[in-house]
Amino acid sequence: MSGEALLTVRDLVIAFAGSESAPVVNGVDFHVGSGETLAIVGESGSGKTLSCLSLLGLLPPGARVTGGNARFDNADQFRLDESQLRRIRGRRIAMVFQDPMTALNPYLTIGAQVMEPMRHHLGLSRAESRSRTIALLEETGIADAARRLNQFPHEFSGGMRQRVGIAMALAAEPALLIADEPTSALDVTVQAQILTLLRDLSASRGLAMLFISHDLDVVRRIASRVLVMEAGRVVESGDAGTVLTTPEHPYTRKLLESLPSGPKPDEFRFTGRSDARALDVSHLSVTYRVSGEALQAVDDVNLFIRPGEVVGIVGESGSGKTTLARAVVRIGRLDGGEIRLGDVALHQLDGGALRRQRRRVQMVFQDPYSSLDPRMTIFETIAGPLRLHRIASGREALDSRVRQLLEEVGLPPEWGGRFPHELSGGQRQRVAIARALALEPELLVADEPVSALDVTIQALVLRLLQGLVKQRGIAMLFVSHDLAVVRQVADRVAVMQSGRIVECGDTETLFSAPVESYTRELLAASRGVAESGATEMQA
Amino acid sequence: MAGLAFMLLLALVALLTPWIAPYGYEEQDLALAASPPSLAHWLGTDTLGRDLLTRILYGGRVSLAVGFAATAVSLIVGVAWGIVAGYLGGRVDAWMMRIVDILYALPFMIFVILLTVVFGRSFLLLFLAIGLVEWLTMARIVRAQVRSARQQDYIAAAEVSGLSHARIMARHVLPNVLGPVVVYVTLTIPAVMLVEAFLSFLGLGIQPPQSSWGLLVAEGVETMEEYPWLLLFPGLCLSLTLFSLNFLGDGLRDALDPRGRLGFRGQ
Repeated sequence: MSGEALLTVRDLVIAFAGSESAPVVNGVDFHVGSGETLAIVGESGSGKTLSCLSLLGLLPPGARVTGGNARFDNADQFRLDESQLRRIRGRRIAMVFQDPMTALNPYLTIGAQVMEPMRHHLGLSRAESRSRTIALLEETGIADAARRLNQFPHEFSGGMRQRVGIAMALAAEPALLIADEPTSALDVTVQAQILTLLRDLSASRGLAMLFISHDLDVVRRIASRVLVMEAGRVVESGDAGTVLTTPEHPYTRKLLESLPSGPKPDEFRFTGRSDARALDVSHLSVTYRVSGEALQAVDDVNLFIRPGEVVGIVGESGSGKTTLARAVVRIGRLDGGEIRLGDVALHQLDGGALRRQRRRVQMVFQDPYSSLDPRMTIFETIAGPLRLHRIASGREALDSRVRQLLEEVGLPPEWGGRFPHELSGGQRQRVAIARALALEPELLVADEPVSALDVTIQALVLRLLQGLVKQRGIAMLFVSHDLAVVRQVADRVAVMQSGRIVECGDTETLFSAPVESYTRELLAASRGVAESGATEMQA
Repeated sequence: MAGLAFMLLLALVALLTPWIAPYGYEEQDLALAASPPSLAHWLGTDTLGRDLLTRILYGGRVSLAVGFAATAVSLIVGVAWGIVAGYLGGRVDAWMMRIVDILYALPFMIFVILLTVVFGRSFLLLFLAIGLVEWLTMARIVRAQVRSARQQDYIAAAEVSGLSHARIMARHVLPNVLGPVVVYVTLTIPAVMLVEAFLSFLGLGIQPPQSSWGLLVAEGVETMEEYPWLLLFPGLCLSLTLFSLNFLGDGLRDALDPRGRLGFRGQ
C-alpha cells in the first residue's frame, strides 16, 4: 500500500427499503490510496457494484446506505447532499462503465462528450477544453484525435469507445476512478489493450482505482490489492499476489478453482468412429446487406462433426461465429452451401418438412434471461416441444418426462410450476438445456452457453453439458469467445475471422502449435491473462 | 380493484337502465326546463325539461356500447395487423405499415361522412367507422412491441423446437405484448367515447332525442354559464369512467404478468 489512503470505507451497510431480508451489503471495509488499484471481486449479487455506486450517491431506487461511513476529501461521502455529490461526481470520483456501446450518447460527437466535464467542472473555455481533449484522447490511445473529435460513437469500434469512455472519465482529472467491469464486453485482444491503458494511466497520473470485476484473470493483471466479496460481505482481502495464489477463504479458493484451465478431461474425450458424420457443412455462406453493401458474414465455411464429438468455434465479435451457428440450426439467413444432418439435406428444406426435422438439431442460447419465455412456466417451456413432436402426450407422461429432464439437469423435479424470473441465471440455463435435450437431438448447437454466467456456475454448467452430451453421444457445436472454456470442452476447434475459418484442428494441437498468425495472436492475448497468473502461482 | 368494481357497476346500471331510470328519456316537462338539482330531478333537467339523470343513464348505454365495441374492433384488427407485420418484418412489414400510413393520412371526417352518405346512418356503422380509425394506432404500438420481442431468444428457441410461425405468434409473441396493449385499450375506450360525441355533435352519430355522454357534454358546453350542472354531471361520469379504466388497465397489466410488479432485479 502506497502512502495514505485516499478513500476509506468502514462498516458499509446497504439495504433495500421495506425488505425484511438481510442487507445486500453488510459491514464492508476497504480503502484505496493514490496510484493504487483495488479490485473488488465477486459474483453477481455479491454487492460489489452497489458498494461502489453508494460512494457517488447513485444507488438504484429503493436501496439506501443504512450504516457506515466513507472518508474521502475530509468528508463522509454518505453525509453529503445532492448538490455536494454533484460537485464530486466526475470531478473527484469518476466512473467507467461496462458496456461502451451504451455508455456514450449516440447523438453527440465524442469531442463534445469528453469536453463536457471539463467545461462543467473546471470551467474551461471551448478552445482550452478542445486542446485538452485532443491531448487526453491521444493519451488514451486514440490516434489522429484532432480529426476524430468530430466523429460520432458509431464510427468507433468497441475498444475505441471504451478508450473514449476512459477519456471522458478522466476529463475533469478525478482522484479516484471506479471501473465497473470495463473490459467484460470487449474482445480478448482489445481487453488486453484496455487493461494496459488503465494500468499505465493509474501509474502516470497517480490515480486511485476501484476495479469491479468477476473475472479473476483480468484482476490478476491489474490489481495491487484484492477484495473478495460474497453475499454482501468481504470474505478475504489483501495483496493481489497473495490472495490469488494462496487464498485463505474457501470461497476464494472455489472461485480460483472454477476458472477454466487445462485441456479437456479424459472422461469426456471423443472416442467414437472417425468416419461417421453427424453434421456436414460445406461451402456455407451468409450475406447481409448493410446500406447497399454486401457483407459476407459467413464465407465459404466447411465443417463436420462426428456423433459424440464437440467442435468449438472461436473468434472475436463480428467474426461470424453466431451467424454460422444460427444458419446451421436454420433460424438465420442462409445464402449458399449445404448442411447435411446425417442423410438429410437440411439446406433444402423449408416449411413443414423443415419443422419435422427440427427435433434433430437443438440449440442452447447465450442469454438465459432472454431465451425463456417470461410468461411460461418451466413445465410449459419443456413440455411444449415434447407435445409438438409427440414424444410424450397426456398429462401424466408429459409430467414424468419433464420431471426426469429437470432431474437430469440438476434441478428439483417439482420446479415445473415456477416461472423463469424465479430462477437464477444458472438455473435458467439448466432449463434451457433441458428444453434442448427434451427432443433427443443428434446435434446440439451451443452459442456461448456459459458466458452470461458467474464463474462458479459456469464450471458446473459446463460439466453438466459435457456429461449429458457424452452420455447420449450427441454431436455438439460449441461457440465461444473464451478460449480457455473452448479448450476444456472441444475435441476439435475452428478459428473464425471475418466470416472464414482460418484454422481448424485438434484442440490440443491447435493450442500448443497454432499455424496461422491470427490464431497465435488470439492465443497470446488470452494467454497473457492466464500466464501472468501462472507465473505468480509458481512464485 | 376499485376500477374493476366501478366498471362492473357501470355495466350493471347500463343493462338495467330501462327499469331503474326515473323518467323516459324523451319525457319533457317544459315547466321545469333547466331547473337545478332537486328531489324530483336529482341531477336537474336540461333546457327542454328532460330529466338529466335519465338522460345520463340512457346516454351511458350508448357511450359504453360505442366505446367497447369500437375498441374491440380496433383491438382485433390492430393487434392482428401489428403482430403479423412486426413478426414477419422485411418487405411484408414495410407494405403493411405503408397501408397504415396511407389510412392515417386520409381525412377521418370525410371518410365517415362518405360512409354515412352511402350507407345511411346507423349505430353499427358508427362502431365500424370509429374502430377502423382507431386500429391504426393500435397496429403501430403492437408492431413496435413485437419488433423488440422478436429479438428475444425465446422466439428463436420456439422456432428451433419446430413451432410454426402462426403458433409462435399466438403462443409466444401475443402474451408478451399484451401489457402495453391492455393499457392502450383503456386509453382508447374514453377516446372513442369522445369521437362519438364529436360525430354526434356534427349530426353524424347519435341523434337527439337519443343521448350519449358525449352529446350531453357537447350540449352542456353551450349552456355552461347559465346551467353549469348540465356540463358538470355528464363530464363527471366521463371522467370517472376514464379514471377507473386507467386503474383497471394497470391492474390487468400486472395481473397478466407473472413477474408481477417489476422491481429492481438486484445487482
